[in-house]
Amino acid sequence: VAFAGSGLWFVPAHHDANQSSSREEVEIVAELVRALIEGGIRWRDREAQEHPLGLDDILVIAPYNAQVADLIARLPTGARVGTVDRFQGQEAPIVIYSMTTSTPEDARAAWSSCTAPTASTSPRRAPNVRASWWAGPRLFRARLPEPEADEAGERVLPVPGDRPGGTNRSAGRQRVGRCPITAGQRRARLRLGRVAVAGARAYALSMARFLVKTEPSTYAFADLKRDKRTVWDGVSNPVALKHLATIRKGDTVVVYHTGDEKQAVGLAGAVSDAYPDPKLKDPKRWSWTSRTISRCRSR
Amino acid sequence: VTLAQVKADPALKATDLARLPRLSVMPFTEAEYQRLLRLAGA
Repeated sequence: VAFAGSGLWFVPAHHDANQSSSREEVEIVAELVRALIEGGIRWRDREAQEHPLGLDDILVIAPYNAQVADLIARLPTGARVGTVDRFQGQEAPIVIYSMTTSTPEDARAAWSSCTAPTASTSPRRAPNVRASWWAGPRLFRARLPEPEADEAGERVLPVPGDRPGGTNRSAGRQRVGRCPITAGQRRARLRLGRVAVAGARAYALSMARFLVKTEPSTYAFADLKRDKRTVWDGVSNPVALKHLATIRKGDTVVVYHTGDEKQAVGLAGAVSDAYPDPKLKDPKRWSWTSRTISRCRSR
Repeated sequence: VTLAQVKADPALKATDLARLPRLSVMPFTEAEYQRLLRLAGA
């Protein structure tokens, strides 16, 4: 298997003049998804349970709606494809990020309406991340704004045969070496590290947002304000549980009153990650506390 | 912020809150969250 184990893989996809969509990357991603789901592959979750890998276990992310639309059309029905926004707070054993754009010049045109080209998957959340990037190698020539990201990238990615002040020696090596890398390739590797550092930082700063419903006659926002902190359990809907399991310490939660009220009434913060309910076998429950966040105005 | 306000808002009417009345825990995107806060402050 080409991607055995866990980690982050970069796979070059050579193309030119692609801005917000790339047919080449759509084909590569489609082939990868097919190979993964038909390959009899198994993955292990954070409780060390093994599962067969299915279409639902793969997230495909692209930075542009045009590329997302092309990927949806090409991939099997039900594939989880979207921009980063759509998957915020979600996780999957495999995340494929299609960088789409060929070069920084193309990107500049396409990125004008976007923020940072965050190449982050969700390493903070996924216990066993297996991610791939499909990208035009020249894309990594993009300059990122923060100089310390540059330095960090150069520190964390040592390049064989490249030593300070050793120009002659390194040039000699490149001639006789079994697997010489060109200066351009070396720069591309440094920049890959830089993008990864910037992406990781952007992800670390991000905080997921959730909305949870409660029946005020059972447990109202006022009760939470009084108790300061409470354990949130008793959720049984499988979809709700799936979302609940992705809640992490520091996430913000909108509290919503059901019943006659039907309105968002306040904000709370999660003070712990979601954890399995000790009283039950499978479902998750979590603990949180109300912070100094104001009550939302009602109608 | 009432459910009626959420359903009437173009930026929020596609959220799970408006679409899936029985779902009790749901993720919000940053944009949706900021929009909700703006409605709350209005």
